[in-house]
Amino acid sequence: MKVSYNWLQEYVDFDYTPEELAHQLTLAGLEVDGVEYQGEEITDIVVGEIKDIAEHENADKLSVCKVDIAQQELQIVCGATNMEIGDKVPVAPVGTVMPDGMEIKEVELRGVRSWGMMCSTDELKLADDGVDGLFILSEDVEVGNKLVEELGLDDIIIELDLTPNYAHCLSMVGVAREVAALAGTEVKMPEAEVEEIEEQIKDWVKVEVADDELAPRYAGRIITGVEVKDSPRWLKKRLEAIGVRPVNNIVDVTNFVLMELGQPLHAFDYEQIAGQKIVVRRANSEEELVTLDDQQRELDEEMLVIADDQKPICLAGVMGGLNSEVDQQTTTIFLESANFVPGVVRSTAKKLGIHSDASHRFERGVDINLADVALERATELIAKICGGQVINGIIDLYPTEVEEEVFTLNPKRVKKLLGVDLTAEDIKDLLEKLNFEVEGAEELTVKVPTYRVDINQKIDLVEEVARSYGYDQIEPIKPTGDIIQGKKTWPQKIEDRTRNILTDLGLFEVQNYSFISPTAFDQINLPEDSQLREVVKLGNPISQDYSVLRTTLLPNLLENIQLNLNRNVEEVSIFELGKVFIPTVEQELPLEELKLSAAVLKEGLIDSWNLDAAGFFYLKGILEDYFASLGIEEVNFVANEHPSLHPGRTAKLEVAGEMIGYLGEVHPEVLDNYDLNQRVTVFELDFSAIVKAATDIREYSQLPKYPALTRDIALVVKEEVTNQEIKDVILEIGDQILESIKLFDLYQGEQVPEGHKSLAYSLNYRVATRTLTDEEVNQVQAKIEEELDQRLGAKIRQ
Amino acid sequence: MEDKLKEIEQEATSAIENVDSLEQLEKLRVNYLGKKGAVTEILRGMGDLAPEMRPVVGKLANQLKGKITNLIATQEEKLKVAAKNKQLVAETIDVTLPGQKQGVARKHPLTLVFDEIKEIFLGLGFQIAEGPEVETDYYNFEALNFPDNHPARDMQDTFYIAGERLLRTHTSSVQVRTIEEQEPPIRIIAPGRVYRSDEIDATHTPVFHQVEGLMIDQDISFAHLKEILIQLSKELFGADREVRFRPSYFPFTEPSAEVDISCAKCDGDGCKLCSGTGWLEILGSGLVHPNVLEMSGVDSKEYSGFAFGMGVERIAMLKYGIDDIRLLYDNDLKFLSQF
Repeated sequence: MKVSYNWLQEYVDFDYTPEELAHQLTLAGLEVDGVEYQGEEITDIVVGEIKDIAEHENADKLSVCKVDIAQQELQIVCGATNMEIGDKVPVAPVGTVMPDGMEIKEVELRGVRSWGMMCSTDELKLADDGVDGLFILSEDVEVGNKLVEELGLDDIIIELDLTPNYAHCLSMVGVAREVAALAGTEVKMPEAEVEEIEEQIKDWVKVEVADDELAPRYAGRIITGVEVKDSPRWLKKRLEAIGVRPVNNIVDVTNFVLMELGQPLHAFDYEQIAGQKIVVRRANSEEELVTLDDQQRELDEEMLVIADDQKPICLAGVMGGLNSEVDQQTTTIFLESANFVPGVVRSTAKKLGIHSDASHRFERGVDINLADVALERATELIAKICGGQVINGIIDLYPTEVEEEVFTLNPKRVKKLLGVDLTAEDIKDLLEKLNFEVEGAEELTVKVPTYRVDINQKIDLVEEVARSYGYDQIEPIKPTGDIIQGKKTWPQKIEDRTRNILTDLGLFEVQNYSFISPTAFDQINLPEDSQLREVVKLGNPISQDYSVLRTTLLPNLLENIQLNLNRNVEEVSIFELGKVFIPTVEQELPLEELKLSAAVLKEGLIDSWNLDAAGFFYLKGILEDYFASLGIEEVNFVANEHPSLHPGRTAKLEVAGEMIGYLGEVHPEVLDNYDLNQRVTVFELDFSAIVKAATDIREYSQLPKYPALTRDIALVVKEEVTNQEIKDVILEIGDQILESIKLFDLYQGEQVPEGHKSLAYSLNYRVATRTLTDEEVNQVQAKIEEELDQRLGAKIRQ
Repeated sequence: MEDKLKEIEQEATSAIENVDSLEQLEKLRVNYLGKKGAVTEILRGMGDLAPEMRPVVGKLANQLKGKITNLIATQEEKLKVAAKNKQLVAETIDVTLPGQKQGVARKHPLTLVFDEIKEIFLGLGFQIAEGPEVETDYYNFEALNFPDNHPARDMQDTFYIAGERLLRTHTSSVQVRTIEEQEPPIRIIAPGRVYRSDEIDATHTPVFHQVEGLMIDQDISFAHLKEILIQLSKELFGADREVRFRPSYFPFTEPSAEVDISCAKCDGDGCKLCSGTGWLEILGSGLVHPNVLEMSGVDSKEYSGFAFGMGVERIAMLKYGIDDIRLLYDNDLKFLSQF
């Protein structure tokens, strides 16, 4: 909400500068978004009246004007064409510095002297008036006066960002109350005096509230003989300063009182009220209403309307109807000042997508006892400004009068909750500053003004005490209590370690949104019946691209690689530890599972096995190091398939016999879908399985005392025989005395027969209790060679 | 004969001391002390001397032999040291040539902030609690004292999922779950992802992170809240930051407070970063609303507590001077490698 510094001073005395005021309000809980000095760049611009327009003798497109600015008449050469003699325009005399920094000088234009400049809205950096040329001012501005004063731009606007509980501050008077509490002064409420004519309102209109649950108070007056026209300058100035567009004098008065007191008002054209009858009732689903913003609205039973004998004429508390709008022809008005419950206004406004000054206030709560006060204030102003006569009497349907609520407050409890040593007397003073009536000593009785719609419980009063005392005055105190050790859970520890290990091994951690596009599943080639396509969908996504919760992290990681390549980062090694969401039938909420996924696109890696698969074995190596570091020993990589991955370059991972995910090269078709033309290797693992398998238990085994014997073995096998198969045989046979085994060469080519490959292993024999003899090692080695031949057809390569 | 020995001594001393290589030195050793060396010759020719001269000359020759041996040893040591030094000089490298990197990568900046916050609170005896990101309306709003159909719900634009479910808009939902499950005293922080249906711009993303904090015990007061949050702010942003508390509104806390730190960029003078106010908002907090305690089964007459929540992106942006929140989710390695 915008607060005018000038206007505010009509209701409260204070001597804060605008900055001090902003600071004080912020500390009182009314957060200030900004302080704007209106018109500060155009303070030297004055109002001028064009007295004469003559052609420029040396230029077709220029004219020479005589402009009266009160003390003097200036000759100004001008390029605009939209002005006439008698128009009032903004004038920048010689010496003025324009908003763009240009200084106006006395110049000669094609031989004619010019002593200033007439301005357009654009040149003054004002809101565009839609006119090509000079800013023609309204007739009622005073020649020679400063433009900023005439336009109400000599004001300072404090923009408040009020939280929903500050409903009582949604008006000048409301803010003035807070300022008075801060400055220790009193609020000056505007007083209204209404003169009535003899005719009785009951003869003019019948009002019926069909649903007083939703409209607990409905008040109104009739003013006849009004002349609808432009508002006087002072009124327009007030409204323009806080960003309300003047409409006509009637509407402007209702807006003025809304902004002044916080009571939404509505004026109906009395002649348009069919049957001179007003009914406050729920709408029905056949009804429609064109609202003041020219929109056709479909109504329903949930909505509250103001209707006449036949049809709705206003959405209660939200917006008026075009069918009863006050316009130039209007002579009699019905002025409504009512109170509607927040819920009905809010749901109507939300359903129709309307947010009005009225609905904003009703949604947050308006003081029910303000309705008659505001009605009288507006009536007085309308009678004064629009020249009408007030019909005798007020409609005021207010069946259940709301009185000030009373709470008891225990000073000890306040003291305990705030941690401040306050006496009952202190608390009384603090609350009285904010207009609460307080009585008692041991137990305080606090009477809450009805405009404080936010105070519903004792605890709300505790906040008021704290606010009044000043949050910054409360001295911090160290909490005491049992000593508790803060520690991470096992999964939390493994998460942290995972991030540490993987970053140390060279993978950067990324963070992606949890939602993806449903087309991502096509991008990664998932078949139609893939389980990963079972997703949790957002009901109101910000776009299709972010409309389903992810079930895999792979699409995000591939996009990350794509983005980096497009930005000339040529090597990308990344991982993400993130949640996926799996819908379930049984449970209310979907399953949320952590996935650990990585993607690598990197040149210059060592292609250990000459298979053009450096990325695969790089990432596999990282995984092996990672598992080892977590104490996970039993990890198997088994050739497998995955629709997103290269069929010949994919392994499933088994930890302790349980399948936990995949490692593989991305399928070339998927790479194409992401415009990637280099091999990318990825893995995606179930993190919970890793947490389960990880262990902190380590056991020392004695360092070897006896020497080891090493034997190398080179085998030729058919291509399809795997390293794992060979290792399994060697380990089985070597059992007791074989300490370790290492593949050190893999060869395919001219030296071995077509369809075959050669593998060379180094076998390390050792036992803990004695030195092995050559003989026993040779025996085992021979047995290994024999078994390899028998089981796998492996021939020793000489 | 004695003269001859003197002559040999002079000649040898000078030769040995002037020699500059180990090979030359070996030659000299052979020349003097070898089988045919000058000193050996003399010792060997003793038989030709008069008997009374033999012991005298023998003694002198042996002394000379010893002296030359010593000289050679000394010179050898000298030459060896010189050779080693020469080699060391020759092996000098340009230490400014680039190192061979092992390619250590970095954690995401949000993780770094999380780590820092976790460490602070673990040290204060807090546990780390977690909760689901897809939540029910109950845990995200209702149990947090958000009235149905109330403008407070507009403070958080919510993503909905069919069937009264939604993406949690704050980690405060974990507060409720914790209060339901645990008996006081409670000290937890709840770090995690949250969602709001904001359009993406330099300061908004639909996905972001928060850390929630909750402390419940007998007699927890607003003064305690201030103590903990001042500590937190100073740990995160430096001991020289000023911290201020001002009234605010959250349905689940009362009294509620917004916490600001003095702007680190302008030191409170007012700049673009702090919109001229000199203060930067870093978190929201307050005493847990008695309705929240009661709804989750805690007697609000016996227990009180405070809660706070902060946006991790905002903290990261302030700490590292990041001017566009989208950078945190672009995952551009030129950005990520800076942390």
